[in-house]
Amino acid sequence: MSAVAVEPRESVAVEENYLSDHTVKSWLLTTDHKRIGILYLISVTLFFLVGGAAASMMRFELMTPKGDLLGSPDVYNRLFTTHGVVMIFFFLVPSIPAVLGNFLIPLMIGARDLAFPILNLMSWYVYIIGGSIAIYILMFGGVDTGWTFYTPFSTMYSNTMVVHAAIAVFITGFSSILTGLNFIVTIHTMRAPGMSWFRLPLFVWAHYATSLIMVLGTPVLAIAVALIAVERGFGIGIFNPNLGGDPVLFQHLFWFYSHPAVYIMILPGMGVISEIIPCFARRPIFGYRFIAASSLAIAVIGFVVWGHHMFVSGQSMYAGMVFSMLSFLVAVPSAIKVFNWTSTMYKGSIRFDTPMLYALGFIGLFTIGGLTGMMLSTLAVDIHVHDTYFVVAHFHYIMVGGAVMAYLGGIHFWWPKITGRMYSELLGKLSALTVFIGFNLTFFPQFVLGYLGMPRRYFEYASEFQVLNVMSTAGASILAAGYALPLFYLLLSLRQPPTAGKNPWGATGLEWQVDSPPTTHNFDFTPRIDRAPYAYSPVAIEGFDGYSDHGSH
Amino acid sequence: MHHVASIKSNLVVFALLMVLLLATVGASYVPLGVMHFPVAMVIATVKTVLIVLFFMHALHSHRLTWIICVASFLWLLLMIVFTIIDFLSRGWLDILGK
Amino acid sequence: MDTATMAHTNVAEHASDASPLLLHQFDDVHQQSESSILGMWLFLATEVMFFGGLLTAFAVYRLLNPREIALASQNLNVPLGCVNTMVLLVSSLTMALAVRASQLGRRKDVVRMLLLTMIFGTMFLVVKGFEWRADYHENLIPWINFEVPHHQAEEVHELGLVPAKMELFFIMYFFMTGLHALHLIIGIVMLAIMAHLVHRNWFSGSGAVQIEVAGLYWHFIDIVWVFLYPLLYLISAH
Repeated sequence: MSAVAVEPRESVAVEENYLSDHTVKSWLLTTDHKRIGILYLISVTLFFLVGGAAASMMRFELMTPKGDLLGSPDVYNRLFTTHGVVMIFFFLVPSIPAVLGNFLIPLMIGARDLAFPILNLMSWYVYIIGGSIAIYILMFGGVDTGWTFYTPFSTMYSNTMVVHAAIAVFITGFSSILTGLNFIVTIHTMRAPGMSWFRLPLFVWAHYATSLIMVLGTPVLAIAVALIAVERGFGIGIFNPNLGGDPVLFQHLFWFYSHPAVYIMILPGMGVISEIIPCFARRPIFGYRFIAASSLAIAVIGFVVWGHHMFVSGQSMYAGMVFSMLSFLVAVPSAIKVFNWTSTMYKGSIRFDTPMLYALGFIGLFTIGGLTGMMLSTLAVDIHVHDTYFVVAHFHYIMVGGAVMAYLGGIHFWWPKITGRMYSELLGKLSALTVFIGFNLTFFPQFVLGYLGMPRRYFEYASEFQVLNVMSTAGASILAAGYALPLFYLLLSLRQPPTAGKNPWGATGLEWQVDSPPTTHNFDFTPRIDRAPYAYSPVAIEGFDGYSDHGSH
Repeated sequence: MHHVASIKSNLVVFALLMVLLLATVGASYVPLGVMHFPVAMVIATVKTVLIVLFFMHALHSHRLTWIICVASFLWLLLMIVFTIIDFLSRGWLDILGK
Repeated sequence: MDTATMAHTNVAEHASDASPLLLHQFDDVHQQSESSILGMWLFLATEVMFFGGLLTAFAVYRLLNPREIALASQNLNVPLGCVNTMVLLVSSLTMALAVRASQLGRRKDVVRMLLLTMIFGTMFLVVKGFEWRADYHENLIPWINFEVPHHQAEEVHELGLVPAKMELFFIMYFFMTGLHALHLIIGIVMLAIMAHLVHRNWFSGSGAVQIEVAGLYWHFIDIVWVFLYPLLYLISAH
């Protein structure tokens, strides 16, 4: 908001970009989708550190069979609840959509901004309000129900700040709804001329599917936690069986959102991988339409599998059978994606840059997570491993091995676009490898632990499990180092001048044709799209040095 | 840019809604037994369709609007039906808790 | 710099569209109005699921405790609920007429119809308030003073019904009608703002898109009540 405001567009100097205005006010009142993406980037990183700290303390506690480090099981209960609530509601759900999705969707479809920029800023403020309540809870008592808030423990027995937590989750849900609503409208109405549905990058398709879940699922979670807050706050019976209620009803309402929420976390990650793989294999994506359609299929089928969380909760066995079958079905679109990514790489000129390493890690880890998911959706097997570390390992392979790997891959892939800077490729590769090794060392032993019968959410355990737990804790330390590394070198890269160029990876997406970092208005002219995405050919690798500015035409 | 509905058609829709309201109240006093609830829901759905099509102009709007209307209704049914399936089939097996 | 600049340059570019209110991210007025209307429809889809969670809970409890729920429901005032449904349907009619007037550019009619809609909306709330007051005097409010009404005590005792399950009905009743009333209050405030802005000629044209979007929300509130009325009031005892 300075003297430039009266100047016509042409006189805006080349160095002017969306980051040029440095005042605090310009950041807090921005409606620019790119700046809001950065605001989210900073906030979710902070929450990731909080959730990670809780996880580290749990892992250190679990080095020995006796509960010695934290002193009391109550502290441990609060830690795993904090870890779950923070990581899911305040990190994973907003991570890729609100950071990369916000930043990239308008650039990818050739729009100047999202359809509702003020709503977009509002969603960040709503998120911050919910997050502040979460931090307040953390400092003044915590919650010990687990992130699932199961009744009757949460409503009748827990002595912790459940009502506050319900309010925090309720509020944060609206941030997610606003983001999803904004994305759907934007993708429908703001596409540039020629950007037909089947020319959309798969990243956009994935976000469209994600947004559907956000819009249709999140309100149900809001109601479920609101009922918890009312029951507990007023001491009346809603889910209390003595008063005519049914605790399993809460689980139905909760998982109606919270299972699809898993797809809110993983689908955008799949979108990121669909961008990275063709770029570093120099091949057009294999089976574009199948990948696009499978995103929608996952979103739709994902809504009718929630009962597989309740196989041993007193749900009827017939309902369990229906949910078990449908859970198997959701593996089909997921497998379609994995096979198509693999086929894309076949006969490609593969380059192992940092984003590609993360993407390859994603494919392997997601496949393990998905296949163990099949084991869990088998009724009989689930009864054996329910509530054991097997489940913990399974969903960490999906959420950490899948979603977080994809998030980091995406951050590395688009970092030159977001900031205009390249990072140290050596350190980048090192971080990808460290994360991969650390992750497997942390969570693979947990599969074994769970299969041997070690229950989750316990403060102490039988001493025969110690070796595997020590392995897991050692892995967690390596993993923490792997996560700390990018924080260090990515921030360091900001000290350099922005010399990455428009298109350091030689990628074909529309976002690579604008400046790095982009100007406030994204495009100097309305782009016209006349070809399908991912027009990669191995020839383009000629003279590709990784840093030069390739064909923006 | 939009289809402008005439006052007359608005009034006709309103009159139909009133008739349906009286029908639903009347039906509650008729001993319909198990059919009581379905009848009430069908009438409510018809009223909703009238409001959506004419008062909310879905009749003359984008195909997308139709998709959103139908999809949100289907999703609601999905949630209710799959939840009810559990409660209805409890106790079919003579095993406690199944 | 930033957004302000963009808004300026683009507005200048699109001045030929004769719309001083084109936001910078849109290419033309059509795209803008399409986005607003689509946005509201999607928001209503989230609202369907929001009320849907409660409806699911209610459906389950009605299935589990049919007799208690039916008995408890008899304490609601069916005629008053019917009158209220009529009031809300009339408000929907006036809202539709307001939208029509705005499409035809008749500003005075828009303001008049919006005011009528607000009056009917308020009437609904007043009647609802009297119903709640009566519930309070009959000791039907959970947490505050709930007890089984005297005229039903004998029946409850004879049939071996659980009073807590009757209370459960009232919890759901107050939660749902309360949430509905909250939506109505938001709607009335929104219409008041709209009426004021139309009256001040703040919109380009007569705010056809804005009024239409507000109308969608208003009709949705009506639809919610169309379902709540038979679900809560008209459960017959047999």
